[in-house]
Amino acid sequence: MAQITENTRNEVKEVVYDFFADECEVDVSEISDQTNIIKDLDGDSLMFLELIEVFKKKYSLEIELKTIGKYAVKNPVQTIGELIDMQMLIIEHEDRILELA
Amino acid sequence: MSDSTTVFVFPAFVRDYHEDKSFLAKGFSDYFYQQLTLASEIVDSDLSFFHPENQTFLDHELRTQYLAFIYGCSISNILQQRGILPNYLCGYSMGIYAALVQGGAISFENGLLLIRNAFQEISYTTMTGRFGMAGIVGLKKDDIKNILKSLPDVEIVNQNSIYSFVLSGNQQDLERAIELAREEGAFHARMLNVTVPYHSHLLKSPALQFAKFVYTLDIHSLKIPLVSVLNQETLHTREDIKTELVENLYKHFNWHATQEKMLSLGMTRFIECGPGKSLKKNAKFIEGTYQFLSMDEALK
Repeated sequence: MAQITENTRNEVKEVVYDFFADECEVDVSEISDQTNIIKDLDGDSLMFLELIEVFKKKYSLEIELKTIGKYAVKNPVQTIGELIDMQMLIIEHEDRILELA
Repeated sequence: MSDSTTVFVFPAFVRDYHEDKSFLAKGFSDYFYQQLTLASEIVDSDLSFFHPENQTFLDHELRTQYLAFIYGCSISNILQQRGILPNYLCGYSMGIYAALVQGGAISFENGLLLIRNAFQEISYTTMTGRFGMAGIVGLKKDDIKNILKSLPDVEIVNQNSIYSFVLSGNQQDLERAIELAREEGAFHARMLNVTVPYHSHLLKSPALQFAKFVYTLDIHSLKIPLVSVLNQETLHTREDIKTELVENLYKHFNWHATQEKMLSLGMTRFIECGPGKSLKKNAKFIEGTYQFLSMDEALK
């Protein structure tokens, strides 16, 4: 289980913002926590999958993708801010995240 | 760019052209509309009504195939005019027809006739029920196999990456497979906008009828080799091509294995010869040191 520090949220936020700016070819200044991933950025499931893989490697997370998928079905994510919140829970709880759902 | 070994990759069904910037590229639009006019005279006069800004043919399976073919042939022509030449070719599913034109195995006209004839033969089968295809992202192959144990008439017909699969079968069973996949934790599971169960055993009979047409055509050896998505072999000969054309309708393919094979053969630059970036996006899940360029990037 990854160590959560005060800095973790900032790290996660930076990765998420940079990732969508790069993937969706928009300036990072155009992204906020309220940005809708699908409507505003034309995001898709492959981007979501890729981002999860980035975090799995960065924080050496022990969690199966389908566990995240099951959590996401019950707790759907629409905005960048919600995605950051979910990512923080994944880092904190890894494969026990479903116990929160 | 000249140090790379380049593959032109031709996608199968493309439905959305409205954000495609190729039409702004010098020479592309003129050549595309010239080919479109020719195609409308050969196979379907309504094709001449196509415009990238409208979505006229969004739900017309045959016309979307024609257009992807015309686009692929046109874009590869423009790339070559700019000195970007392929060392290998690869057709994703029904993208094979444009790849074969590019490789000099068939003419543009015969490519159109192959698409039409295959679709006609398939239509006799699809009239007998409701069929389709589905895409599932976020599960592993074993998870999907477990789901399909209770749905024996649905097949995994393509693996795009370790977490992305395409299924074919009858519509009702596919819809059930989608429900089960979502319950299992798939990020994305939905029906594709086609009514044909491509690459499934259901098309074996029409494929054999299609073979009769294939063997009447003037088909040449490839000047540029084609990598098979069915068995990942490198094809050159007329006989290889005829077999591939027929089997491509009813045999499973494996895009993931095909791209890995191409990387192992030393190919380092892939150019997606279609509008959009679906194959480029998928490539992010395939390890290796290579470039995968969308049309916008290749034409810059």
